[in-house]
Amino acid sequence: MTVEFYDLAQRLHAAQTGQPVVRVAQALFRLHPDAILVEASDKQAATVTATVGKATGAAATAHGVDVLHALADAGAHLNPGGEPPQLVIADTASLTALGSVAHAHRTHADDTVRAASAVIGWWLDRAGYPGSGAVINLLAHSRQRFITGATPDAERHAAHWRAVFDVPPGVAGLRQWAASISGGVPLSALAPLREDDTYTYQLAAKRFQAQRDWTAPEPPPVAAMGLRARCDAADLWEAALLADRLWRHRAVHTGHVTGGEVIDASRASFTVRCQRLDARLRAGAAIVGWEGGLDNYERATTFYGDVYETSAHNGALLLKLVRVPANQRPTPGQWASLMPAPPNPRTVSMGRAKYRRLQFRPDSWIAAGKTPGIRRRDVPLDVLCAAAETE
Amino acid sequence: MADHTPQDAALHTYAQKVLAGTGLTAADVTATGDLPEGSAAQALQHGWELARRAAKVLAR
Repeated sequence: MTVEFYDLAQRLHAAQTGQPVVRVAQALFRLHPDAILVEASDKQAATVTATVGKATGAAATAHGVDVLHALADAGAHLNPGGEPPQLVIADTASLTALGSVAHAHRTHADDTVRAASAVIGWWLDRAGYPGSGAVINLLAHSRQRFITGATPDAERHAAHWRAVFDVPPGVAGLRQWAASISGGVPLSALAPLREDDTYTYQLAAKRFQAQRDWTAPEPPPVAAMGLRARCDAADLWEAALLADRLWRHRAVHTGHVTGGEVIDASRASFTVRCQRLDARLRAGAAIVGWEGGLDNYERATTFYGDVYETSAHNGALLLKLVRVPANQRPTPGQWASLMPAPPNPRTVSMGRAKYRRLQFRPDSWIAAGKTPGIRRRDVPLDVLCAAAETE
Repeated sequence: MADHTPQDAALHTYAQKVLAGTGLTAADVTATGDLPEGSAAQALQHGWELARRAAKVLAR
């Protein structure tokens, strides 16, 4: 992989020009006009101090349980028919501090405080989904979208990015910082994740109305579904980034995007001769491809198919592709670019529905909470032979 | 590239570390011409070229 060299060149360019280099052309989140801006510190619930602000108006600084009152005043409510509140923080430290105070006051007598606590619980959960717009971690988004004329270590600190974007300290600077990194057309491939934000917010609101404790451990099938949803979100996020014209160039150096000349074609397949051997596409992988180089993606008609076979020949990687409709296949001599096919939202949704049915079936051992015992039965000889061959 | 600030010096040291063993220096980022696909030199050239293009994205 050569991505370290690619990134280094961009760091050197940023150092020479004094400007950060944008790595993802399209916006990775939309800043909500009613976003709640928070800076919080300390992990001890009793001593948590937070400053809570909005786009306009003065920010309020509060301690302990009053942090939850301040959040409620800023719009941290659970309203099943309403818009999910968006939280903007500099880094994860603020969310950890909020989590501590929310946990401590989850059973508070005041409905408003309990609701704000449950909203934080929802934020904590959504922060684990890449591409979610519920929690905007400015440090993480800055590192994803920009690279600066500094070392990777320096970029791990919020103070570095505040200096890069010349934003004032405290909550006052958060909105300006968020605006600096959210310019441009949003990546449309992230839309399903925003829909998930709304759906999960509504579920959280219903659980709150049913007076369920958000800190209680989830039943195993619910936890399994959450894990599945996180995996789906991560896949969607990776695919969305590859849809971006600048990130796609970087992905050549991580092996996610490749390309080469079409050297062979038959009725059912064609072969692409890739100059780089480090492509990550393996036999069985679903691909999306297009004629021409990386920058032709937006102009060309894309085709979908599968990698049937990979082999190395004379220092080049040969990818044999199948299941590409005949009328979309590039012809020998043409250049084709290839990358992993993005997840199909319909297939993801159907797969999740099937998984849900399996999890919640009465005979699901995950739902029952006990591992299945060993059962013995006669095994046909053919099956035994097949297993032995596999071994 | 001259070292003007501690940040520049840190980046210079980092660049030396990344490029160690490649025979390249930070000055090679602006190299032109056809370089072997998949080489460190080509990756440097590609990163620099895309950084130049990215500046135009921001300007728009």
